[in-house]
Amino acid sequence: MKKKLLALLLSSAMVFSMAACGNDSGQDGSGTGGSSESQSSDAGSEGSSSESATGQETEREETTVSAFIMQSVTGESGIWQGWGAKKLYDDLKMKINFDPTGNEVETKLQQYLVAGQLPDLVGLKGLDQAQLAMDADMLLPLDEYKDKLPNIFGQEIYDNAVRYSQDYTSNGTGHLYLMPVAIGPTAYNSLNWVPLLQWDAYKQVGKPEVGTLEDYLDVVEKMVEYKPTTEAGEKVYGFSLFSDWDNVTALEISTLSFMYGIDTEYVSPLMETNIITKETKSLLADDSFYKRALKFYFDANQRGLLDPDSMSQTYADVEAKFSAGRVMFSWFSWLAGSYTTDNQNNEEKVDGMASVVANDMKLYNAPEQTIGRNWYFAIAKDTKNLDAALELLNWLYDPEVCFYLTNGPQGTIWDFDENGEPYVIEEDIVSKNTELLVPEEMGGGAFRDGVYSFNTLGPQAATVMDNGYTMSYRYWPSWLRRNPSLMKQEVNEFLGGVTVLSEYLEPRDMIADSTQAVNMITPAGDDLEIVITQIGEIVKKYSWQMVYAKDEAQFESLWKEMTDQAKQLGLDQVTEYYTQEWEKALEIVKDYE
Amino acid sequence: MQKTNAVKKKSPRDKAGFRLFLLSLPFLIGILVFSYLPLAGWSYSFFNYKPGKALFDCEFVGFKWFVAPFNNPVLRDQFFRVMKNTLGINLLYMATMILPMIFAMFLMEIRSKGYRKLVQTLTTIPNFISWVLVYAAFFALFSTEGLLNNLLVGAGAVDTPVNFLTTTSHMWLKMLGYHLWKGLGWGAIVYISAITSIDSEIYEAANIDGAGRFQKMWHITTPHLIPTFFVMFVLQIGNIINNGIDQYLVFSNAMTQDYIEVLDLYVYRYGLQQGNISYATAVGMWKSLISVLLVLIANTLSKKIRGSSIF
Repeated sequence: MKKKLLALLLSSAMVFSMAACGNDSGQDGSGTGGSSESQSSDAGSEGSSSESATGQETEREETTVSAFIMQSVTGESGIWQGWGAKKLYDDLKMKINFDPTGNEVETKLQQYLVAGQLPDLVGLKGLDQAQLAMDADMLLPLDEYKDKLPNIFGQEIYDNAVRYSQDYTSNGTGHLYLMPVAIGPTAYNSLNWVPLLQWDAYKQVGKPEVGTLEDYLDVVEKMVEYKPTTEAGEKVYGFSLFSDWDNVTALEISTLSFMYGIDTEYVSPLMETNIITKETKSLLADDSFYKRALKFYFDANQRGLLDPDSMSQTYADVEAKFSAGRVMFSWFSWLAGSYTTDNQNNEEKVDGMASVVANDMKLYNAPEQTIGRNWYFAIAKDTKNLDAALELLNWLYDPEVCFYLTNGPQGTIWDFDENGEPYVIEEDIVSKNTELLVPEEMGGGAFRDGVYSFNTLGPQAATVMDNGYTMSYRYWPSWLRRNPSLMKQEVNEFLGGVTVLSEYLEPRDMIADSTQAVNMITPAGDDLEIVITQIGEIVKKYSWQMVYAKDEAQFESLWKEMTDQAKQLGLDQVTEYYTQEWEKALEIVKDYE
Repeated sequence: MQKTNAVKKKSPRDKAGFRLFLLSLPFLIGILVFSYLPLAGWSYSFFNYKPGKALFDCEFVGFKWFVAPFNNPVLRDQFFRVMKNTLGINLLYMATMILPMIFAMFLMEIRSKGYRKLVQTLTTIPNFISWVLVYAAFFALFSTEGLLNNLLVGAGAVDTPVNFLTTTSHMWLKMLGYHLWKGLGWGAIVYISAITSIDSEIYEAANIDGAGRFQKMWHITTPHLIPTFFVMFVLQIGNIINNGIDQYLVFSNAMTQDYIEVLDLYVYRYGLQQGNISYATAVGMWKSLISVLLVLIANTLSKKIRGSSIF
């Protein structure tokens, strides 16, 4: 009996494993099946769009293009999968093989450069990185292939971006080595830096008014008194920071400046550039905002509101704490873990992280970017797949493709209603964008798989396309009108009956509209870069020590030590350089507005 | 015939020598390829190297990168602090090098074989755990939410949890503690094998003479282990400046960094992480220079004190 059972088990295991193999090959089969299917759909689409190419298209050989997209935040690599990849295969019979990115992409780029070979398609994150690749002379001058890139050259929306890139970021050659991304207008109501408070606790302590930054301390203190632990018994903190994104400053501290219209990132992390007054000064000046921000968190720590792990934990740790409802204050409009999604429609206790903006704040609003932002796509100079790489780049800048990758296939995820207005059919697929909910026949995968591997496409999400609607569903009237969550309703009511936060901020003059001059700063030269690095090491170290200083006297003496050492390392040089660059940028930008 | 004999007469030694040379050739080539050829990379420190460009297309800057760590008082302080940490921590390690030997001696005195094996296995295992995982384990123990804090708060010993990972007192000793926890059992292996190779007749003779356990340990085992200890010790001197980087990298944060930033970590942070390969190379060469100096000093000392030396 036992033996029989064993035999049965074994044979069934075998059948399963064979079925698994079969499945595998089946998948391969479906891959090729997909291609034949795609060919037929190709033929169909060609019939409608480009008649001339039909003959060649059918014989098109499958190609695989390698890509290294620095700005991609995914740790995944390998052949691009999902519905976006299917579209590419259907259109061009092409696959993309992504090289891993993840952490320390800068080092990875250097390794490619040292090896003397870049993948076919390169995404470059930041002008300083792009400069390295340009200096190494490893990028293809795209302007020599104008006829193969009709979607880039001669498109009105990209005109300024192409011109600027040729004039100012081509090492003086006038070639187009770098094609910027995120070109276009600012999106309405998409602020990155917004102070958030845990809504239920804020409500319970009587929604006290917040006049200025330091008032959050009092409010948050009361909130923590009201809710000292979560239901699971874990300690609740007023503030929780992380240090693994620190570069030159304690980033999560300096970033508070954006709530007062002061840039501490784009022009230079060592400068405070006020985009309202257009003045710039050193981050380490004695009257700098950075000192105020340090003092803010120092005070928070003195009152026992700051998570003691702030200095040694990572982003993932903090996100988990937010998800568990263990942090009262957030400084990014999107940093709430899953707490908001989990609780915003909980009828027993409506909760989540809600925008509560201090009265004197002026929230930084990203500029209209006719020249794009400092992230680029480029093609390797010595690519063996020149034609395929050019075709792929051209495909990526095709407005129709961008629309598809951002919103998914028409008829499945979104569609036009009877008035010709686009609306999202499957809100579930869209809001649960990491779950594999896209139907298999469209290529499968999760909703975000369309854009995720590239991070940002050519046009800004709010760019208005030929059909009269923005590129991303997020700014379609139908999406903005959709039913707000219970928490959103309460918050909107609290803000005086608005539908979105910007409606509350705009009449009160609480938005600081930036200028794209912040994207027109030439990176510092090598020697200055070393000085900046050295100052950065000092600033990072002392900043955290200041936040956790014993008393105010120690706080002040650490500040003095930090600024003294920074000055000895050459801080004034850095300040001088960026002040000049900023003034230059303010001149140049006039041509592009 | 005679002629060949004459050749034969001359040759056996030469021939054997040549054969031995051939035998050692692969190793010589290996050393050449893996230890000497990479030294060509030193040339990078004399240029403003930019990745992607050929070295000789880059600007020649002479000794710029070598003096860079001493350019101004802040950098000088930094460099000397790093040197102090490197040497200080390593001297502590060397001072405790006797511990694995003592551990091995006591371990071998355990009568129950099963228990002895168990202890040996448990103390050896940490050696195979990477520092990243070690840190994760200690994080779980010592962070604000960790086991220790929960116990302390639960027992009422402290009111608010303490983040032990950011307290800076006795940093070197803590590092030593982690180091010993990880390496003690592994370091004992060589002594255990040395103990098992001691002639058991000596112990039997001592038994007859009426020596007790501690007397046997002190008068027989210890003298037999001292040569092994000295070999290990001299080897460690050559490594005095090589702390490795993992342990300090994972335990380093804004508070502790001043006390545990060692030379390797410094090279990593300022050179590789910031992409300044020339600078990293130059600092690395400083390291080699200091290493060679230290070994020469140790060698001279050894010659004077023990009368024997490595070279």
